[in-house]
Amino acid sequence: MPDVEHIPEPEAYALGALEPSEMAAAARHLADCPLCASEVEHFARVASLLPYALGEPGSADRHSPRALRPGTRWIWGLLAAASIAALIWGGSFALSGMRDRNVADAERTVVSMIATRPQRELALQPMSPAARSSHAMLMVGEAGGMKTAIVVSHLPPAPARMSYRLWYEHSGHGGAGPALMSLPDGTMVCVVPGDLSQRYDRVGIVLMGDGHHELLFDAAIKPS
Amino acid sequence: MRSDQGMRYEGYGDETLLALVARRDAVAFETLYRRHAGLARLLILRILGDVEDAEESLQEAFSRVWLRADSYRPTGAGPRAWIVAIARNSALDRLRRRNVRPRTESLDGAPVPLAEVADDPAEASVRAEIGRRVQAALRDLSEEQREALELAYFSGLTQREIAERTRSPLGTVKSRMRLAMRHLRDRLEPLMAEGFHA
Repeated sequence: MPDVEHIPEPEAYALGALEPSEMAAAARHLADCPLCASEVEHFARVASLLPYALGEPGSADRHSPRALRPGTRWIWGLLAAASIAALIWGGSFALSGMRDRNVADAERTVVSMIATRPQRELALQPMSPAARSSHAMLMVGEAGGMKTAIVVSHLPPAPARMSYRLWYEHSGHGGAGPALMSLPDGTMVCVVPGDLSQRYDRVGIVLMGDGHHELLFDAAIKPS
Repeated sequence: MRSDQGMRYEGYGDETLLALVARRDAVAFETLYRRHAGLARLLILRILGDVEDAEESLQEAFSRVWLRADSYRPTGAGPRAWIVAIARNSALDRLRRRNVRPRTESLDGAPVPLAEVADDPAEASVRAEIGRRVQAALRDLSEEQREALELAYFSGLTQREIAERTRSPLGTVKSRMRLAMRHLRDRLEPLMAEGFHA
């Protein structure tokens, strides 16, 4: 398709519903046509309102002390990985190119930095028969100039549709955190910036998915 | 659990937060995440129809926000629309890669089965109010117009693919999509003017 004089279907472009060749031609045109760009942006705003029409999820039981609430803490693992990767590589990696491989590389680097010079180590106690043939450790150290905790374990691959997640308890309220990542050597690891003992009473590993959960490891982490 | 540090960014606008994220400010990122993850999660779950897949896709989407914040341009459709677009692309990429079967429920307010708390109660309240107004605008569309929008937005189909799927002439699909989007633009203009645009 040749370059267009004006985009004939800005509505469809905003929805991404044109054929790839049409999308490409329109994108080239948009770079030089503020009028069309404005029109497309307007429809893009309209399109981005569509998710609001979806219903809200049901509320979880916030008051149950042991209720497992998938939380947002996994994001800190990602932050640590990305931040430290940025430090290590001087921000030279291509932003769009940093996908799973580099995140895994960064996780491995953080784990290596902390595991070789831990300031604190704590064995997590098995809480389930399924955990008795495995082991798990919490280690706290410095990585990228920031106090960081890692939880490392050697666990068999999680069953289909289930995952291992960090588990926290604070003042009797529990919650599930980030998923443990599998490193190339099979080690399961989770990286969490900050001093966990300042925020939580206990930390563990839970296997969850398909509406089930099982606490595998657990330990009190408040310094005595 | 909101960090004390996070509180200091509560009054900041999204564009400021994105600029801070581009400078690798983790607290700004946390604030942005709490503000927008709820909507992104709903969208992703609607596209993928699988809770575990949706959580992974949400993680992928916000990793893109973190990594690409410096590519955001304030002249575009706005930070929320930018984040929503990233979330949608992340989910559609995953849908194409894994061939996950999408849900077929209606747009019209059907709840999604995700036992997950909203990340920011104030944001959830705003989201519910916007949702009511968007649902009202969608109810004015014909079933065929709504179907064309859903297949394009939530399933990532092109007009040609929609025509094949619905066994309708391509020109008819184009017309349905154009009329639907223009109707929504007119109906939602006041909402966007109030500053609730995405």
